[in-house]
Amino acid sequence: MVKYVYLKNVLNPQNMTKYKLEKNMEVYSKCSDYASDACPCELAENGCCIVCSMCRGEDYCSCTDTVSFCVYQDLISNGGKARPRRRSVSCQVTFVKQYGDDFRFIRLNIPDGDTTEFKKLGAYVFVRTNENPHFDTPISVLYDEQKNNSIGLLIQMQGIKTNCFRNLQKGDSVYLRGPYFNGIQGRKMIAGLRGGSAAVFCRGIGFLPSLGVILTLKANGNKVDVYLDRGNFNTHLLNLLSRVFEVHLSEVDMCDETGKITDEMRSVIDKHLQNETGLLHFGMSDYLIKNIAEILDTYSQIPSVSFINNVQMCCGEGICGACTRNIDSPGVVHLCKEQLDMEELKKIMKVKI
Amino acid sequence: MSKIVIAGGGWAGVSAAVSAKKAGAQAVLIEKTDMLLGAGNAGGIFRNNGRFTAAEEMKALGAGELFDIMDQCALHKGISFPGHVHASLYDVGAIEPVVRRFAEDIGIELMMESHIMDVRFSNGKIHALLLDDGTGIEGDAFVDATGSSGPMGNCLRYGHGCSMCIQRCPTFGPRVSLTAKCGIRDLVGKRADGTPGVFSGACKIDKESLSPELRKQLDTEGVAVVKVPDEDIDYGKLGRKACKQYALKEYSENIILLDTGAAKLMTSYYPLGKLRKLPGLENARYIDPYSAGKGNSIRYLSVAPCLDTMQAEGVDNLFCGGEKGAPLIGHTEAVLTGALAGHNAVRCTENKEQVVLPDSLAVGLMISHSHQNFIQKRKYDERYTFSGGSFFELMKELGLYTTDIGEIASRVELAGLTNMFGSTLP
Ligand SMILES: Cc1cc2nc3c(=O)[nH]c(=O)nc-3n(C[C@H](O)[C@H](O)[C@H](O)COP(=O)(O)OP(=O)(O)OC[C@H]3O[C@@H](n4cnc5c(N)ncnc54)[C@H](O)[C@@H]3O)c2cc1C
Ligand code: FES
Repeated sequence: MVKYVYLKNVLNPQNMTKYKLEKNMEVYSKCSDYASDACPCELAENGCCIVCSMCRGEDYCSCTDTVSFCVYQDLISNGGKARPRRRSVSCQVTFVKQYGDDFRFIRLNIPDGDTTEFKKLGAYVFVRTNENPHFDTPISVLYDEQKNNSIGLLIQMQGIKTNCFRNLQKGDSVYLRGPYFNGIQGRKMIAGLRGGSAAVFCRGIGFLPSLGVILTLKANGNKVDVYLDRGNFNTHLLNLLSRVFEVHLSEVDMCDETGKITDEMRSVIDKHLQNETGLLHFGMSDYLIKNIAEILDTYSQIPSVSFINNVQMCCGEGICGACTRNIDSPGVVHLCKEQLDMEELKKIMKVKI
Repeated sequence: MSKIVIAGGGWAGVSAAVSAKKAGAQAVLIEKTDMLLGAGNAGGIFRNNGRFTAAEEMKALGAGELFDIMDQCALHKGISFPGHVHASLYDVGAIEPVVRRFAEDIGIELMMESHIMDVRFSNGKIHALLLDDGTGIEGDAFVDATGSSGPMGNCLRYGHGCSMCIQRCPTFGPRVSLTAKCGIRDLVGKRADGTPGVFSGACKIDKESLSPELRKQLDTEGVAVVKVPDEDIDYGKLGRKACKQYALKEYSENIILLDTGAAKLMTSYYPLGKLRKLPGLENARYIDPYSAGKGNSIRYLSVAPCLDTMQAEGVDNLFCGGEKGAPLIGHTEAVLTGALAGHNAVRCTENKEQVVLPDSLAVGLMISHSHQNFIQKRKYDERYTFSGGSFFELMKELGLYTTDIGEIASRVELAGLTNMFGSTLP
């Protein structure tokens, strides 16, 4: 499960520089690593590339949405070898703050000082405190701070993998691997919406990974309505986050205790579908996403959708298989790495739980 | 009014849009780059050999507008060069805006810089084309005129890498085969040795980089033939070329330059160092493709199996034009197949019987002959053009080759097809 966080300078919001998104030439293809520093990866080297038919050993190029970067060309010019896989690096903790019992905010120093990649839409990292490389925890990047070469993570401590962060103090170090970019499904739909309108629905902690989505949508000139169901999430933190990132929240009770979607939520969704809102984003558990998918199914036409990637993952490289799902396409999809198109998104919303 | 959506704005796509519009439909033309005409921006030769006959047949059939524009933009008319007579050369630097204005004037809706990525397809029908930003463009019938060159991976495996041709895949995105998206397997043209794909057959040199004497000769005569030093002659290259009509010995022993606004070099690629050894070319510089010293685009990797009506086999409302619809080389050939695809697309939406052009016309024979050899007989190593190779020989043999415009008009009249493309459907 990706745990989320996005925060700015928690100590002193007034001192923060505003979160700015740069418009750079980013290509959103089927693979969230396409054209990144890690591409071509071991999948390409071993004939399993998500994007490139030629790297998969087929006879002809059937690229569809890629520009500028030819995975096959890069693989060949790199001697048929993958680019080095992301390695764990040791990072110093420069700041820690505890929220309630379960949430711990940590700021990490990035050794090479380059944090630009960490602010991409859907960026997440794997972190751990101990030497054992098998128990990495995926956590969304809350923000990057170029001035201080640091990134912020907010970790919900709830099990054996995350409890090790409880005693973490300033000056300690953690192992960090990343960033990876598949923390959000529907990155292309989000990045592609310009000057339109979007509705973002979040419940509890799902608000955290959705912050990057809200900020991206806003930076692209869209009108964004954000609806929040606090659930039993730390209210103080939510208030702080919405103040720091200047996100206006409308409170909605999204579900009852059994997870059934409320009439109130239905009518908000209905209003947005009537108003031809360009994109609906869901930052909530897979169970709720599934219930909402069933409601969306009753409409003849729905706009683009995106949602947070709640999937359990382990390697993040599309290799180990911890994150796979079957959506009756040929083969399985590796949700740690693969972006789904609208049809697949609709299917996966329903099969996930 | 039915709505025809055309994918790809090369000569074939433009021609399909024009004929759909004239048949009374709404025509939407989607092109990934910022220019119409596709490979037509790199070519320029028309009316050479049998293409003269074909152009005049098309005019008599009522699809003359695009040929009129070519004539109007011609820098040279009636010139000869090895193996070719009465050729015209249009100005590749000037023709695209003229075509674009014409298309807009007759009410074709142009969607430029719109990259098609996928189709919405079910029950044997396409419902919409999907752009890469997720927009769906719905229509009643569709034309796939996306050509057969690229994307980069193909030029890399079967050529010498992306040579930066007019398609500009790295910038505007890859060609996408709509027929393949509907589950139809693309047929693949091959070289004499069986390798898939064929190099495009010409490149453009910046005229300004030629010596004043050579430039003057091109300006006045339209042609220049320069002898290649013996040590640099490469006969092997002929088999790798797309253009059968230029796969002649003369094209190995000489370099042949034609004035199409730029200096068109009639060979698929030619190392710059060798080129600069030739008199008058000491400072030569390529402008299309930029890497013509090393390679050229790879074509004919995506030809769809089509009926002679240009309908794609297996999809009720998809028609193909240009290199997509048959292994044909040339602007004239693209205009022909495009026009028929656009026209039959309208007929299909109005439940009218579709048209097949008869073999008594060179244009009809071209379609049936190329389909028969490529699709039925699986001869993947031949490509067809009115201007040379086996098809021109066949035209001559059957008495179809003529430059007598009166004879052509009566031929079309006899087939009962005068102005067929010119009038709205009854
Ligand atoms: C260098 C060169 C020189 C030539 N010289 C001559 C000549 O002198 N005389 C002659 O008669 N013939 C010549 N030819 C051949 C002739 O140009 C072609 O056979 C003919 O123009 C093909 O037309 P077409 O419309 O089928 O394809 P193209 O011209 O290839 O057009 C395809 C169009 O579809 C667009 N497209 C592709 N994929 C997509 C997508 N996914 N979404 C949206 N749009 C898309 C492309 O951008 C392009 O504009 C030459 C060819 C080359 C390459
Ligand atoms: S997490 Fe290992 S394959 Fe996806």
